Amino acid sequence: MAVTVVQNATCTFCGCVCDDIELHAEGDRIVKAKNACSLGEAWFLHHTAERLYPDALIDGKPASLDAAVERAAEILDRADLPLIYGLSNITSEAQREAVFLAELAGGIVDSHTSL
Amino acid sequence: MAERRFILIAGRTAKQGRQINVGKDTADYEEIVTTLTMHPEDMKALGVSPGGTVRVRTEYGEAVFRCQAGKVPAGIVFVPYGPPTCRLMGGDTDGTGMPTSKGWEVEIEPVEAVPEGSVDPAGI
Repeated sequence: MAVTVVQNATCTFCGCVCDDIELHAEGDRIVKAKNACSLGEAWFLHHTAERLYPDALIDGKPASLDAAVERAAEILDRADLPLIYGLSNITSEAQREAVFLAELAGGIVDSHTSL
Repeated sequence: MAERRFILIAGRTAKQGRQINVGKDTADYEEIVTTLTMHPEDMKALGVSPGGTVRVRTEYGEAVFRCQAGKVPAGIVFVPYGPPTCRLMGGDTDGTGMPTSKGWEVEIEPVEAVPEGSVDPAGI
């Protein structure tokens, strides 16, 4: 299988945010994380790009992303005080969107460190 | 044997940090996050043998751990982060966004050994 090499990848496992990681990928799996510490290596090598789940669920049943977004918007529109929660392993860009969504819906943002 | 007061430090270790990426539903992870390290003299004073079980209490909750002797100062105990330490911590973050995980005042007492598999490691 061909190996894809990515230079200067960023590791977001901890607050050091090392950005000099050289990743070697085969298919949907990273097989080497050069320059990463033992924590970063475990993080990269155990998170794969396999499709393990449906794009979305509505009432527990697989659904298209478009249908799920529509349904989520309906729920948020009816909500008095929605909670935007989690966000610990997502990108800064996605966190920015989550905060924007909370402002738009009149909600609250919180992270899992509260539990 | 009466309970004694200690300062508990919960924290990341290399083993715990690797294991949370391998899987939190593994026996290895379970062992890591339910093991408490104590100074050997403190273990003697508390009356707990290596591998013995102790119950740790804070004002927020309690959890049960397997006790091992290790290189920690007298009066201080260490446990890697995990569900059991989460049961001991409150919600205060001192403005950091992450609950305070160091320097908790705890009470520790030895507990009677129970057959393996018959105790909830969370102490519920």
